[in-house]
Amino acid sequence: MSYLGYDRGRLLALRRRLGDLADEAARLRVPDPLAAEAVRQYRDAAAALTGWLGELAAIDACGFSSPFQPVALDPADPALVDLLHPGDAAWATVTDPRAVTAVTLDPAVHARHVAEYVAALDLSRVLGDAGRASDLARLLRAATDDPAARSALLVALGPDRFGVVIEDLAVRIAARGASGEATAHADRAAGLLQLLAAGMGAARRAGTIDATAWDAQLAERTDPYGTALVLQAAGLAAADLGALAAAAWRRWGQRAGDGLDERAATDQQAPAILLAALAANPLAARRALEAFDDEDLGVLFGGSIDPTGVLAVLLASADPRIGGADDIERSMANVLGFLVGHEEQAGASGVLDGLGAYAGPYLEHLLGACDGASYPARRWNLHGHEPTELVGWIARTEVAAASLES
Amino acid sequence: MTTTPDPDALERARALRSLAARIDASVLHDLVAAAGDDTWRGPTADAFVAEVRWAERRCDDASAALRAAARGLERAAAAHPIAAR
Repeated sequence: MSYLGYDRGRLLALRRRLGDLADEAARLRVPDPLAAEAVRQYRDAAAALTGWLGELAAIDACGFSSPFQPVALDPADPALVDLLHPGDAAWATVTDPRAVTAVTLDPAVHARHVAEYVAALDLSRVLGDAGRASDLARLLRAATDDPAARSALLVALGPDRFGVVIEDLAVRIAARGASGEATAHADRAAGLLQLLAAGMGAARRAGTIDATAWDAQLAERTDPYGTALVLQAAGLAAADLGALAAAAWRRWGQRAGDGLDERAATDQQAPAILLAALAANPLAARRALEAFDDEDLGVLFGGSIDPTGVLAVLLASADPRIGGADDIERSMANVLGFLVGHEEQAGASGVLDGLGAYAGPYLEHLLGACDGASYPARRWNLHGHEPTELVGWIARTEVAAASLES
Repeated sequence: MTTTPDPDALERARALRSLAARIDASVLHDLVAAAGDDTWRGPTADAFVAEVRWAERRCDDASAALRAAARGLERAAAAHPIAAR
């Protein structure tokens, strides 16, 4: 069975335009025998179209024997995405006597329909049905794989509606483990979120969406847990990932215990996700650590954050194989400058033992040219801290001292 | 004796060009926009839009033929001038 969706007012306007065409064709005179064939062509074309007037009238007439019979379609059915027009209260659906045509829908138009569908979707009606979730994933994958379709999808969705959809999915993901059903929903929601995030990241890298508006949405308005889930899958460039992760980290710290992830296990909350994303991208880790202020660093070395994740980010940011010492300077000076005034936090958080390995490769930059090299290393700007004060306390623990030496 | 292109032929050419312009400005060319996917979606909508596109091509052919005929008249008028009155 095929279906037709339509807007009553617009369909009536189309019928009026066809009436105008009929009038126009009736008024046209042949000014010259040389024009006869051309006028016949025009009249044939006009007649072919005005011949649709009866059919268009039948669509909205609800006639007893009409092939266009009103039908209620499920707005959550992904198979109907190209027939529905969520948000249009005047949209009606009828049966369509024509079979699905061979007309191939423009991928960008289809992607716009997918965006309208996703924005209006009652998620529980898709996540509760494995088949529908799979259909929607297939639609999103197709729409985000093609650059033109991806752009059309994201432009139609817009950053605000993207944020709402992400938060809606994030709520389901955060509920993982609450029950078998909640975990199944969470898995499906995670798959959909990853597709949307990867599409957004690809469009962001290609420059086909307005980076400023999308970054503002993720950094300032979307729940930090939702932003963290997006950043984990978006594949953003290091500078963008670092800046957005730092913004999400700050907002999470300001509203800790009051976000979408408040009921999730610690290792599944926004900080753990952000730390994992940063640990996988040393350059982004540096950008985030250098953007952190004392409050952010206080959260980082606070008791609620898993020290393993913190150490992974610190060590990734200090990886000497990636970038030069100059690229590490600001992040490390910021971290060590904070810790020298909060030694107890480093001890309590359990990261102290790893700080030797973190700072060790850069001792000559931290302490000055003391290795006898003929080309002494430039001492970093430590923002007024005494070099020995900055590093000396780390050496007081056996493990950290050993890793400093090595 | 001065000659001038045949004014009757030029007038016919002008009329043909005017007709071509009217066909170009036909309501028919507004229909694709009016029948877009904000108006309706489905096989019948697709079939209608396909027919509108066919009709647009017919109209484009018609106006191109009218302009070609007008050019023919203008060339003939220039090639066979008449005595100026």
